Amino acid sequence: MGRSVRKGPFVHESLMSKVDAMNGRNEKKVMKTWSRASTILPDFVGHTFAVHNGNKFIPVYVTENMVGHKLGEFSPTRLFRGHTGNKATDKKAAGVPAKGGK
Amino acid sequence: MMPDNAFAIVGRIRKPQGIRGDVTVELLTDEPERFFAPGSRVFAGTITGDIAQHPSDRKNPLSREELRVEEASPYKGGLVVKFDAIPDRTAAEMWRQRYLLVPADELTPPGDDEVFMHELIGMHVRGDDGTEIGEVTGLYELPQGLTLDVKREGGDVLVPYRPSVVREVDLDARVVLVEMSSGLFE
Repeated sequence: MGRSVRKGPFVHESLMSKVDAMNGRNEKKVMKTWSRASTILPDFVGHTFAVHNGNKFIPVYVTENMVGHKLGEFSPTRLFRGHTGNKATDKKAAGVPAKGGK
Repeated sequence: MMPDNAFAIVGRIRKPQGIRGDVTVELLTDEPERFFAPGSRVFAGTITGDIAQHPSDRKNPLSREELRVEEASPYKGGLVVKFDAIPDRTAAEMWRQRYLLVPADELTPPGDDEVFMHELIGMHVRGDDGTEIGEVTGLYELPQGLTLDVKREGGDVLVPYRPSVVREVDLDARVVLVEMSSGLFE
Protein backbone atom coordinates (compact mmCIF):
# COMPACT_ATOMS: atom_id res chain seq x y z
CA MET A 1 0.00 0.00 0.00
CA GLY A 2 1.35 3.40 -0.93
CA ARG A 3 2.07 6.20 1.50
CA SER A 4 -0.85 8.46 2.39
CA VAL A 5 -1.05 11.57 0.19
CA ARG A 6 -2.07 13.59 3.30
CA LYS A 7 1.39 13.03 4.84
CA GLY A 8 3.24 14.00 1.67
CA PRO A 9 6.55 12.47 0.49
CA PHE A 10 9.03 11.33 3.14
CA VAL A 11 12.21 13.36 3.53
CA HIS A 12 14.43 13.05 6.58
CA GLU A 13 14.02 16.14 8.72
CA SER A 14 17.71 17.00 9.05
CA LEU A 15 18.30 16.55 5.33
CA MET A 16 15.41 18.85 4.49
CA SER A 17 16.73 21.52 6.85
CA LYS A 18 20.22 21.26 5.29
CA VAL A 19 18.77 21.70 1.80
CA ASP A 20 16.63 24.65 2.92
CA ALA A 21 19.67 26.29 4.54
CA MET A 22 21.77 25.82 1.40
CA ASN A 23 19.02 27.13 -0.85
CA GLY A 24 18.73 30.15 1.46
CA ARG A 25 22.46 30.84 1.13
CA ASN A 26 22.39 29.96 -2.60
CA GLU A 27 25.22 27.49 -1.95
CA LYS A 28 25.96 24.18 -3.73
CA LYS A 29 28.06 21.92 -1.49
CA VAL A 30 27.95 18.15 -1.31
CA MET A 31 25.68 16.94 1.50
CA LYS A 32 26.47 13.60 3.12
CA THR A 33 23.42 11.55 4.04
CA TRP A 34 22.53 8.08 5.21
CA SER A 35 18.87 8.66 4.42
CA ARG A 36 18.38 6.48 1.35
CA ALA A 37 14.62 6.45 1.88
CA SER A 38 14.25 10.22 1.44
CA THR A 39 12.25 11.23 -1.62
CA ILE A 40 13.89 13.64 -4.07
CA LEU A 41 11.92 16.90 -4.07
CA PRO A 42 12.07 19.68 -6.71
CA ASP A 43 14.06 21.75 -4.14
CA PHE A 44 16.90 19.21 -4.40
CA VAL A 45 17.53 19.77 -8.12
CA GLY A 46 21.06 21.02 -8.79
CA HIS A 47 22.44 19.81 -5.46
CA THR A 48 24.85 16.89 -5.03
CA PHE A 49 24.23 14.38 -2.25
CA ALA A 50 26.75 11.82 -1.04
CA VAL A 51 24.41 8.90 -0.33
CA HIS A 52 25.76 6.10 1.83
CA ASN A 53 25.49 2.60 0.32
CA GLY A 54 26.50 0.71 3.47
CA ASN A 55 30.18 1.03 2.65
CA LYS A 56 30.89 4.29 0.82
CA PHE A 57 29.23 7.58 0.01
CA ILE A 58 28.10 7.62 -3.62
CA PRO A 59 27.84 11.12 -5.13
CA VAL A 60 24.42 11.78 -6.66
CA TYR A 61 23.93 14.97 -8.68
CA VAL A 62 20.17 15.57 -8.71
CA THR A 63 18.51 16.43 -12.02
CA GLU A 64 14.86 17.18 -12.78
CA ASN A 65 14.04 13.68 -13.98
CA MET A 66 15.09 12.20 -10.59
CA VAL A 67 12.30 14.03 -8.74
CA GLY A 68 9.90 11.59 -7.06
CA HIS A 69 12.48 8.82 -6.79
CA LYS A 70 14.32 7.90 -3.58
CA LEU A 71 17.97 8.87 -3.02
CA GLY A 72 18.87 5.22 -2.44
CA GLU A 73 17.89 4.32 -5.99
CA PHE A 74 21.00 6.15 -7.22
CA SER A 75 23.42 4.66 -4.72
CA PRO A 76 23.85 0.97 -5.63
CA THR A 77 24.91 -1.30 -2.78
CA ARG A 78 26.91 -3.53 -5.12
CA LEU A 79 29.52 -1.77 -7.22
CA PHE A 80 30.98 -3.46 -10.29
CA ARG A 81 34.40 -2.26 -11.41
CA GLY A 82 34.39 -4.26 -14.66
CA HIS A 83 36.64 -7.09 -15.75
CA THR A 84 39.22 -5.20 -17.77
CA GLY A 85 41.03 -3.44 -14.89
CA ASN A 86 43.51 -0.96 -16.31
CA LYS A 87 43.77 -2.70 -19.70
CA ALA A 88 43.23 -0.44 -22.70
CA THR A 89 39.65 -0.32 -23.91
CA ASP A 90 37.91 1.88 -26.48
CA LYS A 91 35.71 3.65 -23.93
CA LYS A 92 35.97 7.37 -23.37
CA ALA A 93 35.01 9.64 -20.49
CA ALA A 94 33.64 12.94 -21.75
CA GLY A 95 32.68 16.35 -20.41
CA VAL A 96 35.87 17.48 -18.66
CA PRO A 97 38.62 19.44 -20.46
CA ALA A 98 41.73 17.33 -21.06
CA LYS A 99 45.16 18.63 -21.92
CA GLY A 100 48.31 16.93 -23.21
CA GLY A 101 48.67 13.35 -24.34
CA LYS A 102 48.17 14.20 -28.01
CA MET B 1 57.85 -7.47 -30.73
CA MET B 2 54.69 -5.36 -30.62
CA PRO B 3 53.81 -4.54 -26.99
CA ASP B 4 50.43 -5.60 -25.64
CA ASN B 5 49.29 -2.01 -25.16
CA ALA B 6 49.41 -1.68 -28.95
CA PHE B 7 45.97 -3.29 -28.88
CA ALA B 8 42.76 -2.10 -27.24
CA ILE B 9 39.80 -4.17 -26.11
CA VAL B 10 36.54 -3.54 -28.01
CA GLY B 11 34.41 -6.42 -26.79
CA ARG B 12 34.15 -9.69 -24.96
CA ILE B 13 32.52 -12.94 -26.09
CA ARG B 14 29.97 -14.02 -23.48
CA LYS B 15 28.36 -17.27 -24.71
CA PRO B 16 27.25 -19.19 -27.80
CA GLN B 17 23.85 -18.27 -29.23
CA GLY B 18 22.05 -20.88 -31.32
CA ILE B 19 23.68 -23.76 -33.20
CA ARG B 20 25.26 -21.93 -36.17
CA GLY B 21 28.29 -20.66 -34.23
CA ASP B 22 26.89 -17.23 -33.34
CA VAL B 23 28.16 -15.71 -30.10
CA THR B 24 26.88 -12.93 -27.87
CA VAL B 25 29.34 -10.06 -27.47
CA GLU B 26 29.52 -7.57 -24.59
CA LEU B 27 30.54 -4.22 -26.08
CA LEU B 28 33.54 -2.43 -24.60
CA THR B 29 33.74 0.28 -27.25
CA ASP B 30 32.01 3.57 -27.99
CA GLU B 31 31.91 2.68 -31.72
CA PRO B 32 30.39 -0.80 -32.07
CA GLU B 33 28.90 0.07 -35.47
CA ARG B 34 32.46 0.54 -36.75
CA PHE B 35 34.28 -2.44 -35.25
CA PHE B 36 31.45 -4.96 -35.58
CA ALA B 37 30.11 -4.01 -39.01
CA PRO B 38 29.87 -6.99 -41.42
CA GLY B 39 33.22 -7.37 -43.16
CA SER B 40 35.29 -5.74 -40.41
CA ARG B 41 37.94 -7.69 -38.52
CA VAL B 42 38.99 -7.94 -34.90
CA PHE B 43 41.79 -9.88 -33.24
CA ALA B 44 41.27 -12.72 -30.78
CA GLY B 45 42.34 -12.12 -27.22
CA THR B 46 42.76 -14.30 -24.15
CA ILE B 47 40.35 -14.47 -21.22
CA THR B 48 42.61 -12.03 -19.34
CA GLY B 49 42.40 -9.37 -22.06
CA ASP B 50 45.81 -9.84 -23.71
CA ILE B 51 46.28 -10.42 -27.44
CA ALA B 52 46.30 -14.15 -28.30
CA GLN B 53 48.70 -15.90 -30.65
CA HIS B 54 47.39 -17.86 -33.60
CA PRO B 55 46.77 -21.48 -32.45
CA SER B 56 48.55 -22.90 -35.49
CA ASP B 57 51.66 -20.73 -35.05
CA ARG B 58 52.34 -20.51 -31.32
CA LYS B 59 56.13 -20.36 -31.80
CA ASN B 60 55.80 -16.95 -33.47
CA PRO B 61 55.02 -14.28 -30.84
CA LEU B 62 53.77 -11.94 -33.57
CA SER B 63 51.17 -14.34 -34.94
CA ARG B 64 47.62 -13.07 -34.48
CA GLU B 65 44.27 -14.72 -34.96
CA GLU B 66 41.91 -12.61 -37.03
CA LEU B 67 38.15 -12.93 -36.79
CA ARG B 68 36.06 -11.43 -39.58
CA VAL B 69 32.51 -10.34 -38.81
CA GLU B 70 29.94 -11.94 -41.13
CA GLU B 71 26.74 -10.76 -39.41
CA ALA B 72 25.88 -8.74 -36.31
CA SER B 73 22.57 -7.88 -34.70
CA PRO B 74 21.59 -6.16 -31.42
CA TYR B 75 20.98 -8.38 -28.39
CA LYS B 76 20.33 -7.26 -24.78
CA GLY B 77 22.58 -4.19 -24.88
CA GLY B 78 25.28 -6.06 -26.80
CA LEU B 79 25.43 -7.91 -30.11
CA VAL B 80 24.96 -11.40 -31.51
CA VAL B 81 27.85 -11.84 -33.93
CA LYS B 82 28.70 -14.48 -36.53
CA PHE B 83 32.47 -14.70 -37.05
CA ASP B 84 34.03 -16.54 -40.00
CA ALA B 85 36.40 -18.49 -37.72
CA ILE B 86 33.59 -19.95 -35.57
CA PRO B 87 31.69 -22.46 -37.73
CA ASP B 88 29.37 -24.11 -35.18
CA ARG B 89 28.25 -24.19 -31.56
CA THR B 90 30.94 -26.68 -30.51
CA ALA B 91 33.62 -24.25 -31.69
CA ALA B 92 31.74 -21.32 -30.15
CA GLU B 93 31.85 -22.99 -26.72
CA MET B 94 35.66 -22.66 -26.80
CA TRP B 95 35.40 -18.89 -27.17
CA ARG B 96 33.54 -18.14 -23.94
CA GLN B 97 34.86 -15.09 -21.99
CA ARG B 98 37.57 -14.29 -24.56
CA TYR B 99 38.25 -10.65 -25.35
CA LEU B 100 38.28 -9.09 -28.81
CA LEU B 101 40.88 -6.46 -29.65
CA VAL B 102 41.86 -4.03 -32.39
CA PRO B 103 45.17 -2.18 -32.93
CA ALA B 104 45.19 0.93 -30.71
CA ASP B 105 46.11 3.15 -33.68
CA GLU B 106 42.75 2.30 -35.30
CA LEU B 107 40.80 3.92 -32.45
CA THR B 108 39.29 7.36 -32.95
CA PRO B 109 41.48 9.79 -30.99
CA PRO B 110 39.71 11.46 -28.03
CA GLY B 111 38.45 15.02 -28.44
CA ASP B 112 39.40 18.08 -26.35
CA ASP B 113 36.98 17.13 -23.57
CA GLU B 114 37.48 13.36 -23.80
CA VAL B 115 39.94 10.92 -22.31
CA PHE B 116 40.18 7.12 -22.53
CA MET B 117 38.76 5.69 -19.30
CA HIS B 118 41.71 3.35 -18.71
CA GLU B 119 44.09 6.34 -18.75
CA LEU B 120 42.38 7.78 -15.66
CA ILE B 121 43.36 4.81 -13.49
CA GLY B 122 46.54 5.52 -11.53
CA MET B 123 46.34 9.31 -12.01
CA HIS B 124 47.07 11.60 -9.05
CA VAL B 125 44.17 13.66 -7.77
CA ARG B 126 45.05 17.21 -6.77
CA GLY B 127 42.88 20.02 -5.46
CA ASP B 128 42.71 23.37 -7.24
CA ASP B 129 44.59 24.87 -4.25
CA GLY B 130 47.46 22.40 -4.77
CA THR B 131 46.44 19.90 -2.05
CA GLU B 132 47.40 16.29 -2.81
CA ILE B 133 44.29 14.17 -2.33
CA GLY B 134 45.09 10.68 -3.55
CA GLU B 135 45.10 8.38 -6.56
CA VAL B 136 42.38 7.06 -8.87
CA THR B 137 42.10 3.33 -8.21
CA GLY B 138 38.91 2.49 -10.08
CA LEU B 139 35.96 3.68 -12.12
CA TYR B 140 32.26 3.03 -11.74
CA GLU B 141 29.71 3.59 -14.50
CA LEU B 142 26.67 4.52 -12.38
CA PRO B 143 23.23 5.58 -13.67
CA GLN B 144 24.10 9.18 -12.79
CA GLY B 145 27.39 9.08 -14.71
CA LEU B 146 31.03 8.05 -14.45
CA THR B 147 32.46 8.10 -10.91
CA LEU B 148 36.14 7.94 -9.93
CA ASP B 149 37.19 5.89 -6.92
CA VAL B 150 39.95 7.90 -5.24
CA LYS B 151 42.16 6.28 -2.61
CA ARG B 152 43.36 8.72 0.02
CA GLU B 153 44.54 8.76 3.63
CA GLY B 154 41.54 8.38 5.90
CA GLY B 155 39.41 6.38 3.47
CA ASP B 156 38.35 6.27 -0.15
CA VAL B 157 36.18 8.94 -1.69
CA LEU B 158 34.05 8.68 -4.83
CA VAL B 159 34.28 11.66 -7.15
CA PRO B 160 31.70 12.33 -9.88
CA TYR B 161 33.36 12.91 -13.27
CA ARG B 162 31.51 16.17 -13.88
CA PRO B 163 32.91 19.57 -14.84
CA SER B 164 31.49 21.06 -11.61
CA VAL B 165 33.78 18.80 -9.56
CA VAL B 166 36.61 17.72 -11.91
CA ARG B 167 38.11 20.84 -13.45
CA GLU B 168 40.73 19.36 -15.76
CA VAL B 169 42.62 16.20 -16.66
CA ASP B 170 46.31 16.64 -17.42
CA LEU B 171 47.40 13.57 -19.40
CA ASP B 172 51.10 14.50 -19.51
CA ALA B 173 51.43 15.15 -15.77
CA ARG B 174 48.90 12.34 -15.02
CA VAL B 175 46.93 14.62 -12.72
CA VAL B 176 43.19 15.05 -12.21
CA LEU B 177 42.47 18.56 -10.92
CA VAL B 178 39.39 18.78 -8.68
CA GLU B 179 37.35 21.58 -7.14
CA MET B 180 38.07 21.68 -3.38
CA SER B 181 35.08 23.89 -2.58
CA SER B 182 32.67 21.14 -3.70
CA GLY B 183 32.65 19.77 -0.14
CA LEU B 184 33.48 16.21 -1.23
CA PHE B 185 36.86 16.09 0.47
CA GLU B 186 35.92 17.39 3.95
